[in-house]
Amino acid sequence: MTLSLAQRVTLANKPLGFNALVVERTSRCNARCAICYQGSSPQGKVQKGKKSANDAKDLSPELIRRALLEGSRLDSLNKRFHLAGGEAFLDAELCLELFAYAQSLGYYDITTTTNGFWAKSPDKARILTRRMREAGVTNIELSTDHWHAPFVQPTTINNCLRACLEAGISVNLRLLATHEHTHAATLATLDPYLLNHTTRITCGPVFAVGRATEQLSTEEFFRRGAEGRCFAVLNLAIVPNGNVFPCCAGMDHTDGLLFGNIAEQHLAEIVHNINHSPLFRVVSYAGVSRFLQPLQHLGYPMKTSEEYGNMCDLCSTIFSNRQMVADLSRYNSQLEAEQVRMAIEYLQQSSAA
Amino acid sequence: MSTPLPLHSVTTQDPYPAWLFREINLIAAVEPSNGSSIQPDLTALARWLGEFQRWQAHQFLSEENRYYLLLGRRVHLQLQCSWLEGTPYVQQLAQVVARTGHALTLRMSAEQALHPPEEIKQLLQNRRIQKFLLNLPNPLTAQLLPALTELVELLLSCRVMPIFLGDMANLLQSGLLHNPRLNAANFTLYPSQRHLDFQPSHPVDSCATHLSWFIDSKGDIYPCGGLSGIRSAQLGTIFESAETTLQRMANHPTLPLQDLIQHGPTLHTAQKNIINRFNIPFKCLLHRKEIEAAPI
Repeated sequence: MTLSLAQRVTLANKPLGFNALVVERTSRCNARCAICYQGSSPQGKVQKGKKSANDAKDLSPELIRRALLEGSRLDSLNKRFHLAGGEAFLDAELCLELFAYAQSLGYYDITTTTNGFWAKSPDKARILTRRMREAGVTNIELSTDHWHAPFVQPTTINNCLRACLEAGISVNLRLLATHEHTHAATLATLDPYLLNHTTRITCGPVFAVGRATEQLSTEEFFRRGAEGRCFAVLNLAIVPNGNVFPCCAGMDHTDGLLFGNIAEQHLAEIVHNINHSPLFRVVSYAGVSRFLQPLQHLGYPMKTSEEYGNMCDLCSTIFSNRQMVADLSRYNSQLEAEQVRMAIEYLQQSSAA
Repeated sequence: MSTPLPLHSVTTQDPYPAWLFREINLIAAVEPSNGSSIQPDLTALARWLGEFQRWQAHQFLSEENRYYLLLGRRVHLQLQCSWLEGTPYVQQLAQVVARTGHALTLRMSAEQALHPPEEIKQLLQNRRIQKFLLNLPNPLTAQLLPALTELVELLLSCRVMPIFLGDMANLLQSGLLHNPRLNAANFTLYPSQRHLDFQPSHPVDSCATHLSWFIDSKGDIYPCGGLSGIRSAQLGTIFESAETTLQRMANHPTLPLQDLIQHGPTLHTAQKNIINRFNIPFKCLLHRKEIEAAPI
């Protein structure tokens, strides 16, 4: 980790802020997409044919309400509440209740991720989106692509887009692609009028994480390299077992670096732990690729930065390995102590001179 | 800024954070009145950003968890001129932004962004620009496509996220979305018709997600692009101290920022009924008209 003392001081001075409180309410989903980074299924998180041993299926409504309340008092958290899954709308009534509660607490941006399965009938879609809007929902992130299509057909997605347009809910259409299945192909299946009235379309490649690693061939994946920093896109994410992470893009499904659990600690305490984690501060402000060199030095057979799908891929790889994180943490502390010692020596020499 | 502001001077009511402006939107353009140079003045902007950054760092070290998001973490530059005129400005701004610890995004019309000079390519290669927004022309002609593809591939090779604003049918027809390198990357599309026919069931939304530090080419600061140019909505200028701007925000005589963040603009009843049939730009337009008509 070739960070100078000056760089470390800068890192230590920068506060971390979070764009949203993300609650991944359940690991269950009506679909079982081959590219699901969480490995969700109707039975919960299932990978390699097995249900994950330490994964809870659902986060209790009481804990979510508590997190919302505690989050509403955190100044470092933008007052956006984002409800995700699995598929959160397997229990639509609970979703509506949580949205309304968030609105009553002063969250002004209330959003959700869904695959839109509930919009099969245009009438039902209209009723639910109207109720969502009344409960304070401002935006939905609608997942659709080649792998979602067998579970939620394009006609259902069109119903969902139309209902949101009528209800005044903005839509962020979220698409994934591989070498074989392009964004253009997905967009061609949707109604052009509705597409042109969608608020935003977010496109990205499928990465080799979660179920994709076992269901897609390695040639299908794109590789963009692990360079990059994430300090501007952090979210406070709570996963179904109650663990809280500063990210909902892969690190939230690891267990190498834990910051706290909402069932046991106040959210403010967990945010404090995140903000004072030397390793996470390096990840967010300097970039996770900074860890590659020390890990190679520690004897881990790491790939080159370019060989990773993206920074989230590398982050997920590192923080899924407890031993790797423990070694990295020790290495970082030693390096820090050494740099402080050098700084003191320098100051002593300067004052003597 | 020698001493930071006392906390009570910029907060209003807990538990809501006082001011959440997530971005700094900067409009840079050629101002003939200033000898045809690009404005706003970068020296003043650098000082203003620096003051805020120091203030924020002090808050972090002395009062945990407070005001982290006050300044935002992105500077979003809308460059309204060609590379010929704008390149030195972008270079200097990138330095200022890096020094103050922000991420820089750039927005230009696609025609003006084509064929960037070496200096800009270097900024892209060094990742001094994180995202690049391109306003696509309508129609997106076949003649423009090779140069546009070249620019997009340059952005992607530098890991700079491209964002396209334009007509979706036009974009789909152009074939750009079949580009394998584009499919391998993260990018965003903003359909140009996204606000048309949008009929919110709730007439007035919260402004929270739309507010930013909007700095126009004169260096005047507003809480929102929709209110730019209205003197009574102005928060300050980059030529005064950041402290003065903060104080004015806390005690703004005509703009209830806290209400705007949480509930949106309070419009007259008759207009609320009208606005129910319209969309976000119309809503902002009405808000602007009301403020302009209100006695100061």
